[in-house]
Amino acid sequence: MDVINGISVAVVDDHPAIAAGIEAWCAAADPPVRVVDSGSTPAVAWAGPGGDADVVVFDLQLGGQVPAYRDLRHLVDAGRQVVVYSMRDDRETVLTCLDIGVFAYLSKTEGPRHLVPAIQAAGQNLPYTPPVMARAFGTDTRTERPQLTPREVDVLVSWFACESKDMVARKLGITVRTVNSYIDRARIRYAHAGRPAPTKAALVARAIQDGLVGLEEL
Amino acid sequence: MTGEPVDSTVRDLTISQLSRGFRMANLVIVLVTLLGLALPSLLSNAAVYHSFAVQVVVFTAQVLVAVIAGLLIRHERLGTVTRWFLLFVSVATYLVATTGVPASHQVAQETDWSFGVIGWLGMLLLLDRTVLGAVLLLSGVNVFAAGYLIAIGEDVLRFAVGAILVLGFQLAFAAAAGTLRRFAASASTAVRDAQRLRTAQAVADQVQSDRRARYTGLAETTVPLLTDLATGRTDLTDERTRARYAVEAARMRRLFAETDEVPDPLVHELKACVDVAERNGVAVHMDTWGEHPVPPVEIRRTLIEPVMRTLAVISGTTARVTVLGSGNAVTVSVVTEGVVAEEVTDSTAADAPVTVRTTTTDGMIWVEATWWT
Repeated sequence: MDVINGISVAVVDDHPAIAAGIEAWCAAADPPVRVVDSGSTPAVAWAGPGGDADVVVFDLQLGGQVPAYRDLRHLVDAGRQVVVYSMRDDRETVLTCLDIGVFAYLSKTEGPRHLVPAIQAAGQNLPYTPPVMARAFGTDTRTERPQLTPREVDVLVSWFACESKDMVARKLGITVRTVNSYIDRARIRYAHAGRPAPTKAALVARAIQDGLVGLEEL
Repeated sequence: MTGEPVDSTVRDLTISQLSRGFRMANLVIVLVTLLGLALPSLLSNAAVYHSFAVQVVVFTAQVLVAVIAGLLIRHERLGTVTRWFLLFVSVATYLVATTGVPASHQVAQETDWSFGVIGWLGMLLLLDRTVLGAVLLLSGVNVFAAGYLIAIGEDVLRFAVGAILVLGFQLAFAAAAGTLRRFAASASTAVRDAQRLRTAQAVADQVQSDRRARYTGLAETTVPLLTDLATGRTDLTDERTRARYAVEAARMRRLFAETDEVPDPLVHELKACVDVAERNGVAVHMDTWGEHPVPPVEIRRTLIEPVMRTLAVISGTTARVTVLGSGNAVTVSVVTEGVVAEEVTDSTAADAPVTVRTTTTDGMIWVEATWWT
């Protein structure tokens, strides 16, 4: 990451208006985030100015009806930090992307509040869990899912319902810091589970290093 | 409810009951023939038969068949297998009995006690199932008896006089049974129609009473507001007054949505309230979490009420409405910015089926109504 110029981003989205909107949000962010390239195919994230962008914002629905899981996997396997920004908000899609190893999953309705913070967190390998991701964790019924404690589910549900960590903290009688740590711990469990990927390993390593989770908790 | 005419129609149409009475009459005929006619002739001709013991055994077997069939018919439990088994025993015992009479003591005479019995016994076992089958059995027995007489060189004409007399009674009985079956069929159709009518009437009554209940609910809250509006007593510049009207409008929309046939009435009725808010210029984002059971209508009203009140009086421009389902609870929640004019009261009673929780912070309000299933 370029400390002076801030985080660089490549946007892969087949709607030019979306790319332009993301560019505007990033420009207004503090610290600013630079959109170095955008286009309708994953090629923008491989070559040219986007080739070494810190974060790739990726639309799952590129032209076709099938989610572009293959392209996503190639980017993740190359060690790229990917934030999926998609129309879809169903549990299966979210969990599949997280299993592939994307950094965060945002539905398009969450964009205004969460996209820029998610990009900034991705640049620093800090976990970021927007409400739709929280819902996917909390309603996960697969047998191989990571086990969450009732308190963690409680916090995830509340976070999904009100989208305000202040209110979650007030409702549950805990601090915002504790709310964050519950959400992050759930996120790290998911990064630790399933298919191995360099981005997931980096997220887990950073969390252990920061004392967010202990090795024995995973 | 106007149930009397329907009930009496049903009572009039229980002809199928008659069918059972008819079969009991058949049973009585069989028993009388067996015990009143066959038994005396069997006893008085004891010395005549090839083997008196065999005759006694088959006679007893036929009495048993009649009694078992009678009991099963009485309790309406005569199954297909039992029916055919009993028929087989009847026919077999008849053949043994009739061929056990020496040629010199003609078939169909007093000594051949079984000829008069088999026809009635066969009808007892067949008539309710197949009239044609019973007639075929009667014909078969008579053809066999006549054929047997010819084979042993006896006088068929003498047999015919006696046989036609018996057969006449039996065929008349079978014809009556056939007619009764047709009556019973149309009667049961009529009974079904009557029952359908009664159900439709019950449903209509229920719908009517639901409507009345809803109207009563509105009469308590809506009518006073409308009266005030009509008489000009309303001060529409007052924000709280406007809020009361907004809440009432949302409540009416939810009531209208209650009667719609939808898979998830809770979300459907909630959408009606969201629609009202959207018409007021509030951008509402609605989302669900997990699966939830369908709460009964009373619970749905209580669950939605706090959210509806909040949505109706929102002063902000956005709101988030969520329906959360978990193992033992359904929660409907709304989060919005801005101060809400009307206070939403928390209910903390431990035994209340729905608990309401309000959390406020930095100008945001979060109202949650939870139903513990």
